[in-house]
Amino acid sequence: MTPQTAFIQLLNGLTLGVMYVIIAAGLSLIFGLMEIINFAHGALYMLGAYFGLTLFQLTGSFWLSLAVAPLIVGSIGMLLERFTFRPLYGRNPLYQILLTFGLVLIINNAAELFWGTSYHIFPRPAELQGVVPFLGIAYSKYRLFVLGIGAAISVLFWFMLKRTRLGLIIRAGTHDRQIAGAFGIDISKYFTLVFGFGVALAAVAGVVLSPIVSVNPQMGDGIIITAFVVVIVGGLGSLPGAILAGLLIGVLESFSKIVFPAFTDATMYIVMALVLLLWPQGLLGSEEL
Amino acid sequence: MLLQVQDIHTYYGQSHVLQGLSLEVGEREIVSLLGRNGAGKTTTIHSIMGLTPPRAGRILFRGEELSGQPPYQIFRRHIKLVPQGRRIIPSLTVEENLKFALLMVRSDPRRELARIYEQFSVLQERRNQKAGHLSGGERQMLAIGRALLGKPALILMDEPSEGLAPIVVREIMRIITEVNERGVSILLAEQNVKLALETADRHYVIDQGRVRFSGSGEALRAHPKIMESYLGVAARS
Repeated sequence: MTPQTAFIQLLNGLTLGVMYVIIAAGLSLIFGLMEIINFAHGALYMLGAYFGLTLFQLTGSFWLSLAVAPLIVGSIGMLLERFTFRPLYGRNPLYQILLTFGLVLIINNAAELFWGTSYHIFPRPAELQGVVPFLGIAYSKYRLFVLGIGAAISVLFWFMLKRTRLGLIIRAGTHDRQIAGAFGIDISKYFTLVFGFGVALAAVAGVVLSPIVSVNPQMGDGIIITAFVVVIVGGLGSLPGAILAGLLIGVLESFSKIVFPAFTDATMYIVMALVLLLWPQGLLGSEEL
Repeated sequence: MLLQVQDIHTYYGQSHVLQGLSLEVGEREIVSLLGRNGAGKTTTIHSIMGLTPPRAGRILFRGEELSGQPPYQIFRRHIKLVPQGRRIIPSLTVEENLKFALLMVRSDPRRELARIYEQFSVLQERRNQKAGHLSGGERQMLAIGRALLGKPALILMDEPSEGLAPIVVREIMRIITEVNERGVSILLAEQNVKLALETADRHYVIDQGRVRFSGSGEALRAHPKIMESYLGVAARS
């Protein structure tokens, strides 16, 4: 492997990895505050891609699709929280898991019904086609865009958590929901918003990754496993953990494709097993779990 | 009467923890709630705060029904909680813990913070440190400071002395007395009988979810059998 190849693989890995981070961050946010294990997260990522595709076919604008598809998926998420999750709060947690499984089946089948089973190509916007000279290599402009937008979203997310009133409520409410109530916060009001926001993040990743992976009905199934592995490896409820784990897994997968292609799919499971052996609560997870 | 708890029955799952418990707290009083582990002290506090609503009975605050209301509404009536085990948020800084408790308080946040920092200098010194790094005594100051924000009318304190060294307990007791002198009523659940006797105006002794004794400190001391059977405190001659 030449240094140039290695650098390209690193960038490819970071590109994919940063999107894993975005998806895992949404998943972790939902789990942390609401204690919901959202198995439907991958299906909503896929919905984001499909809505993005349709919006693009209708308007011809990638940027519009990128802006609006997450809003649609976020709204669907808010409706789902309000009408399907909320009646189950305080009841057997098994019901919630069954609900999310059911949602996966419904969303997957609805997507197949509406958009068909074949792969759809989602073209890159004209401004982002081609390559650009970058630190000694020629790298895909679009992939650099993915890196950039992923980094930007991560920074904005961090900023929201650490510097805003909503972030303070989320951080405190995630740790101790009862105490939040005892200090005047009606935390259930925030559940709807947070769930919508979490799945909107997945939808953003769906649109952004579509030109790279193509839009297809199976895309949610693969990504949800990766998202859970990232959350577990990084540590439940830890955003820095999700960032570290997402990038790590992305990069390792990318190198594995060249060095050990037969093992690529297994890479993340091997990483997860190793991490859990040494750090059972994840790389940056906290003791309270 | 500021707070009236009337014959409440509270369950923890299937367990019938409070079996017809009644008590009262008046204006500017410190009232203690004594009892062993499992007697129902925390359940009583949680019932008042709405964390474990009673299934039967009434809780009145300034004559209005509290029972059945969620904790965030009880907070808005200026009833504040200093929970057992402090329950500060370890991943937030000291200041963030206070700011969080200020979110739903209708006073100027900067002035409130200044007031608390003036009273608890250690909190000011450690304002930007993660609350998880505080000692037990410092966490207790933070938990009390949190409850003092705004204008509390009634503070529910659940075993503030638990796990603290005697010298820190002295300091906590001094703070409690000082807070009360400024007009705040306190319901103090404690296992530490000596402490309660020194701080509170009146005492309730509960056992198995019911009040077994109610009266002044002198009356309690005059009934050593109560101290022994319900509190496990050996009678003093």
